[in-house]
Amino acid sequence: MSQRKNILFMTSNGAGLGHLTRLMAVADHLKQDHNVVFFTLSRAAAITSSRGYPVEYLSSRRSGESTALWNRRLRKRVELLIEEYDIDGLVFDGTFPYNGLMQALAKLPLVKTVWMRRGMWKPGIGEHSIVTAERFNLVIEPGDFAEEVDVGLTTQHPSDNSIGPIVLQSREILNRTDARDELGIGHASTAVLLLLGAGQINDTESLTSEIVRDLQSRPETQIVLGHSVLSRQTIEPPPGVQVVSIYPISAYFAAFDFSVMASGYNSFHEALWYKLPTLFVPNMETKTDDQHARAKWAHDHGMARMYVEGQQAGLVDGLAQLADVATRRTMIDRMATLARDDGASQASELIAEMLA
Amino acid sequence: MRKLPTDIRTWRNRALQLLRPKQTAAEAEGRHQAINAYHSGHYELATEQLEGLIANGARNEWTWLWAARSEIQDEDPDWEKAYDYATRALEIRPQFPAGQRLHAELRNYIENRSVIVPLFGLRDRALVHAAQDMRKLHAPLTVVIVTDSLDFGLLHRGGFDFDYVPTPELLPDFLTDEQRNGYQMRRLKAIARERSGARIFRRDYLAPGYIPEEVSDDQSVNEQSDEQPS
Repeated sequence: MSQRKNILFMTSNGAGLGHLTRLMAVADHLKQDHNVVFFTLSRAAAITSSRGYPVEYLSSRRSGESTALWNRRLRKRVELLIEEYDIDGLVFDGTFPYNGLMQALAKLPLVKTVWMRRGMWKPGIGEHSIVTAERFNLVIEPGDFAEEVDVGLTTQHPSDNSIGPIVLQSREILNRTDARDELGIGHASTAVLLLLGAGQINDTESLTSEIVRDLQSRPETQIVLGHSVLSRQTIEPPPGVQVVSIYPISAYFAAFDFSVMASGYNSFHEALWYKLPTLFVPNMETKTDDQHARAKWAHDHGMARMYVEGQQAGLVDGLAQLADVATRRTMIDRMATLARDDGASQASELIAEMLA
Repeated sequence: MRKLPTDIRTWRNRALQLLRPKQTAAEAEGRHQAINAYHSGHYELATEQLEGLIANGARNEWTWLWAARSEIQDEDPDWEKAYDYATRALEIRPQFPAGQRLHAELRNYIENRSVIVPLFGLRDRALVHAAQDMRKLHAPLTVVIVTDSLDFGLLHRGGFDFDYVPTPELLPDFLTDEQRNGYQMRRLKAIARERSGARIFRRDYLAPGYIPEEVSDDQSVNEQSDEQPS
């Protein structure tokens, strides 16, 4: 076995937990033979620590803070961490490698670098970012089940390697009975998981409230609202709605008959990987991630349904289809046909080879 | 028909724009090249190019702002020089948001108006209360809270500028004793350096009647001992 190397896994902030989750999935494979430290701009740093990884944090640029000064702070911090932890390799997961990061790395040519760069960029987005690829030793693009409909810039600048989707493997996958017992879900009910950002639950006009009203009109339906670990907002759910804040929630997927969630990389791939029938509601506000294209692909292939916010009829129709047992069965059969190449394992091998 | 603006501020800005001396084509082209160099990480080249434009009497506020930005990226920046460049940018165009932001922050830097306050060992409401007290105590200085708690939610929601240093127990096992010794103080000093010589505020716990003790001026960031902060 080759010598243990010290690897710094760095993530940008991002709207959700995608960057951290992907890198933890890869780190889970590398930690046996290498030393792993995380450095993140995400306020969800604690989930990394909970999984047993040392973690460092720097806040993202605050509004009113100058970009130039923030990038200088980032550069200094990267330099410091590389020195403190005697780092051999740095893996960055994010759509934009910051100037401060690139400047620090330019001064440290002995540190091997990897850009973990998810595909499915919105058309026309990221031209300044994509050109930084040549300054990394290795570019890894995590596979995307929907990659055949990817028309973003990364398709014109393919990565060095093709790997499967990266999905964080839960350390303990609960079966349906145990998962329901632990969450307090009745064994006879139809259980639905909502992962749309629980912050708006008290707003009766919000999408979540609309979905709750629809589902509560259906017999024997139990609704579980996933509350982001990123949120510190306390919520008071309507009667009959249960709130959970669990990471990773995929360990409990077997408890649910179907879900309603956004189609970010993680949620989407976890749902399809673990064959959870889902009504995807793409977040159209993301800057880079083309959630609409991803959700539409699953919809068109009969693996899920898609609802774009604002289309009232589509929501009612989508929920009605998910509530139908036969439709869900068909979705599960379709999802079972997907090739499940373990992208996390493949990425870890590529990184280990580069560092050897 | 195109609607004309009705507010006086818009007209004033337009008038000022028209009265401003025009930049030459060479200045516009030179700045464009410098910005490209900056974005490619070639900061020295960018600085050289921009200082050349300034020596030739640059007239555009963006030229001066980019000169300030480039100077900041130097390993050992001349903060006064960067501040002067930002000041000049604002003289050319007073209502210039990017210039105003940088100018305000650089003023904090050169006047040492930031103070780093470690609040290690505090959690949840106690941490936020202490942070609020520190903000009041040091007003009008900018307070940067340094926590060893990974629960950033409350500090974030409270609008605090904050940073993080792990507790010694959370450092990775592979670090040597040498790497562990004095880790927290090294990190505090680094945070202070990142913010151009901000002072580190030393404190014990905020017990009732506690009078905080500040690091004296002669113990500059670079000269402090490596002892652990309390």
